[in-house]
Amino acid sequence: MTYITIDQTLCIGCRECAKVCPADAIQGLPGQPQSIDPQRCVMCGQCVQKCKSYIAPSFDMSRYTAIRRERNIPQTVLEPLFAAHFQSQLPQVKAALQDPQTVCFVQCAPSVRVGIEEEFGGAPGSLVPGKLSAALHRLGFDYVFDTNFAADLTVVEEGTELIHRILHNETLPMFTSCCPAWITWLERNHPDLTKHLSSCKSPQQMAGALFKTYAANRLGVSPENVVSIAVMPCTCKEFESQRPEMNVSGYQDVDVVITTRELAWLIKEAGISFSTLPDQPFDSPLGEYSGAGALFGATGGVMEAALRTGYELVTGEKFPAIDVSAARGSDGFRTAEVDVGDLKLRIGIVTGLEHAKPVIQQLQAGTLDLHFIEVMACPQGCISGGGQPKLLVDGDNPLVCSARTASIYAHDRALPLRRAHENPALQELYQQFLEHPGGTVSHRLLHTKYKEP
Amino acid sequence: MTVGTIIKLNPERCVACYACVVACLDAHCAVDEDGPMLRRAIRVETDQGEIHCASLGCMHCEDPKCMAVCPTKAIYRDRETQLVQVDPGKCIGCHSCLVACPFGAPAFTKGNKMVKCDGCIQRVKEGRLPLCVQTCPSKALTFELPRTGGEESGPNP
Amino acid sequence: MKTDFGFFIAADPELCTGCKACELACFSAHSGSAPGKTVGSLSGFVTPNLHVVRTAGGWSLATCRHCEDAPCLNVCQPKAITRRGHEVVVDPALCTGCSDCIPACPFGAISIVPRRDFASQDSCGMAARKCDLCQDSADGPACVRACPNGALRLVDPECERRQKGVQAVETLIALSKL
Repeated sequence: MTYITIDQTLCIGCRECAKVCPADAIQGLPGQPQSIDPQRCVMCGQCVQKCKSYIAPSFDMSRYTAIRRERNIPQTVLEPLFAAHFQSQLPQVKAALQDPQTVCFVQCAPSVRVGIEEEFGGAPGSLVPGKLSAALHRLGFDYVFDTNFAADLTVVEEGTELIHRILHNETLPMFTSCCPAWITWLERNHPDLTKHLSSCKSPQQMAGALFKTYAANRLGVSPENVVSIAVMPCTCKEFESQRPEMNVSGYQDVDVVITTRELAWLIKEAGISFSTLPDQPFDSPLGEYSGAGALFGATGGVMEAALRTGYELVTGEKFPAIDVSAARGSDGFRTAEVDVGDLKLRIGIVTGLEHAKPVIQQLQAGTLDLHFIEVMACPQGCISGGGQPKLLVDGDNPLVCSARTASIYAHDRALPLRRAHENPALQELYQQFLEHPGGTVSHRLLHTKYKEP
Repeated sequence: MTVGTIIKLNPERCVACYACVVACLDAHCAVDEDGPMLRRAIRVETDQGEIHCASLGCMHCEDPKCMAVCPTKAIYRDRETQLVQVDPGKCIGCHSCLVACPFGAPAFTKGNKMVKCDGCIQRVKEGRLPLCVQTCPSKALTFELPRTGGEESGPNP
Repeated sequence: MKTDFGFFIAADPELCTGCKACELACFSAHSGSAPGKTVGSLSGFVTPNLHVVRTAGGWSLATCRHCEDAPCLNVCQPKAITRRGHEVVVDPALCTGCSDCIPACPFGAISIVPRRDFASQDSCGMAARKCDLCQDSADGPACVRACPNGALRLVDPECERRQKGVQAVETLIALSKL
């Protein structure tokens, strides 16, 4: 199936999309409609964010409605549609919600709660986890869980894995594996290096695996009736969810993914007044999260979250500076050294897939002396993902991205628990089901394999 | 070499003495008005210290961009002389001609219309030279009607 | 001598790719008192004050030229359209939304839009709107800033004439040396 395409009748060949494509996937002569090479496209969606060639209902209503229908976009939507676009998965979600046989479990990513209100005219970056959960409940999702819970889980699993690799001199540096566009790019271009990736699934996939096992079990629901849905800032997560290996439990971890924008369409179609919703919490047993899990949407967030836990795992003491300023920032590639007991942990953070290329070159040349590297394909991390609210004017980008990032950090600061391993719901998950980090159950359900040469 | 059609310029002979500018203003502007200049004498100094001069009116182009873009068809070519003219009755002063003209020939008046060098069309129809050509002391400006051929310049100063 | 000639926005056909970033920036800058910054926050029609159009010579802008002898001004019966300095302005308070100005403009530069889009939120009815050179913004025309190729410029006719004259001289000199 196609994830991201360029409408040949709307594209005027300005090639602004090609300028931001990190995979050189967009082809065509200037002034002619462009097309995306699916063999190269990593579905990061930056072209979707960049494209300005629009059609509005005011220009040609019948052409507009035809295009809207082709893209599976609800009829209540009247916003301009653009040449570069993703195909909407809403029909599948709506079918699941309407089917009385199914039990719909939904999760939402850390970045969704700092972006979605912008679609309702809210201030850039407004933080609305409570309204998000309330809206999802009102839409008819049976259980509203949170990817942030799974982010806490990822921190513990990945931190354990990193320490193991360091202590046993195994493959280093280790790269994070939560960004599917990065994974896809590495598998296609450097399959010999995929051994450097953490074997952990992304938080989305870990959550999905738990939906169909631990959660279904606890809630007395049969997993074959569960439809596992995710709301993501990302246009690649749908691709990730359909990877054939993501069904070790016997059921596909995640059945369908929709983007932040699609959720806003769904909410509007249902006539829900988002901004006036009263706050509602996420559901147990997969709804509670620490500030560490909340950080995953920001570039450097995964690293910071991992350090808060990893430090304690190694030294037995709390990480002295809970805000790891070394991990924060917006440069494409930044490094830092952090004292973790006797170990000088050398970390790197890549934001924007094009910045991964020189890092890979260094790795191949043997000059990359780092232990752990976070890689996010999108320019400012997931808050700037292909599925996030699309800006009308590129000039607003710095303001909006910093507002979303600031909200992520503010959310973390305001939460009572700030370290992933302190999450009581997570501790319960280990006690009742996973036993211990990196154990057999974890390895089966929460870890994965990548394509190799 | 010379450039332009009808009123032609040899830039090497031009010294930007402004004689053409004054003569043109004299003929086309009322006493109490001080512009706009329909013909300009432009002096450019390069980084190497070379000084170049040119007298620019309207080039009366063979393929006038101004005529092509004018939304009201106010700009036309006079059949007899081939000189490019503007009809103030149709002109709305939209500046499209100015954007299109590579030389910046169009100017605008307090009457809210476009004006430009008309090639002294009245004088030409009476068999006389445009004033700038007539006046040019260095014979940088010469005159050649498309049909007749043969260059003409003003009398010796 | 008259000096307050109409300023206007023009596109360089060599640089303009017709991408429409300018249209979106214009619309976003003129969306009234409660604009959203995102595509998803728009629920109505998109009515920018300029449009890119394909012509024989490349991309061009259909937008107000702030004409010296503006046909819209001449046809407006309530006298809502006037000249003010370098601009032709529409006063929404005087405009009755009669639409006589729409066909008068050879560029199609005027739209009739809901009054609440640019007046106060609770205004009703429709009124004429066109390029206002972003007079209310300290940053200048939104379209010029938004263009990814630097194709748009604010034209001051006197400066334009002067610059072209100098450029033309340099070209002529180069030609005559060949």
